[in-house]
Amino acid sequence: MNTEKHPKQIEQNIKDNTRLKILYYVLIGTAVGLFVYWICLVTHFDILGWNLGLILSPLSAGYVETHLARRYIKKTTGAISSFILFLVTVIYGFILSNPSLGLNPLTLIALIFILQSATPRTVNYILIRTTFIIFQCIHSIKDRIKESIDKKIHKTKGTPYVKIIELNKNDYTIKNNLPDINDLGIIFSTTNQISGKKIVEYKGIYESKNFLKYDQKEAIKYKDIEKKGSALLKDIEFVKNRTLLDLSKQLKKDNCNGILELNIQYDNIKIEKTYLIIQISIIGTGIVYED
Amino acid sequence: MLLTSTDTLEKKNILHYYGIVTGESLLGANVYKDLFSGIRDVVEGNTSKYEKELQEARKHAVSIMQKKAKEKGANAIIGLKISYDNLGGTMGNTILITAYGTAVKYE
Repeated sequence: MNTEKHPKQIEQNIKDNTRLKILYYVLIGTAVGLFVYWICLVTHFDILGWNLGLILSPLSAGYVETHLARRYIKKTTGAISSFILFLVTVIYGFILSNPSLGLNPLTLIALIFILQSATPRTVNYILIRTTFIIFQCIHSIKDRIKESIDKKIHKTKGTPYVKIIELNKNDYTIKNNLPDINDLGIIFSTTNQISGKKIVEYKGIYESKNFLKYDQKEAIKYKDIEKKGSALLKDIEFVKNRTLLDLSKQLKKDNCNGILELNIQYDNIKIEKTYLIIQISIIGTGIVYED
Repeated sequence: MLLTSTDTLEKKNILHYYGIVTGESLLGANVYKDLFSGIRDVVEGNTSKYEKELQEARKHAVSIMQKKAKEKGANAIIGLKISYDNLGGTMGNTILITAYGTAVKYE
């Protein structure tokens, strides 16, 4: 009789054995966690009415489970007992034992701590994201206040207010919606005449400018130089098209149907450690020609 | 496709003006590459790598512009201008090469 086992069967047996071991570790972890919770409840281990067992029991359960798993099967099990203890303590502590407990800042902070003990990675991620969002909101509010103050200062001085364009991901969707500048019924030409057309009136110099604030920290994030360059190029092209669009509005307002000697100028007007500001100015002579 | 920096095409009849067409490219974002390029210039004394790359970048900008003109149905770009602008910054000596002109169709 052949007593040799098939390799696949051996592999399956090892897997089953490991699963069983994991189950034992989870159970041991849960038991330790429950014991710690019981000790905390019996000894009234409280701070401001909050039993520290809510934090200590999931922590100890997870620690014991992970320690055993690492020692005997050389891998972690995801601290399942910690999550079980979280559910047990919340159900017992918040619903069964103390149903009148209201929602207040202390409750919220304690809840975060409990959740953090049960699912550290997820909660840490949420906390970090929330912090970022809060900072972004503060930054946005600060910018809006600064913008409104700047506008008021310029209004008082009688100087025009120029907004610096800061591109973000959303602008790429706007970018696609920009109309083709040559489809607006105005001829944009770099030449000094339009062959075969009679210029009826010269309306004078027309100029449009925009400023592109380019975050170099964002650019440095790209490890690939090509990507870094293409991102900046896309931004430059977008701001240039927007400047041409602004120019077309000026021309339309004055009933021009063409602009000659068009000149596009790019100037770096400010270099800071983290960003640079590029001025994009377009200048030309507005005309009215006989179509 | 005919490229010219002049305002008209002598003895040619321009049938249609399509408007402005542009092409841009960036050069020199790699600080280390530029550094070694400089060393090579001194040692070998040949045409610099940087100069070659500048030519390539210009060609790229012009070809983008030509492509845009072709898509519109133009067969020439007149009043052609090419400009080089140093954007600087911590990205190194980044140079923006811009080519732009007026796309036209001539007989």
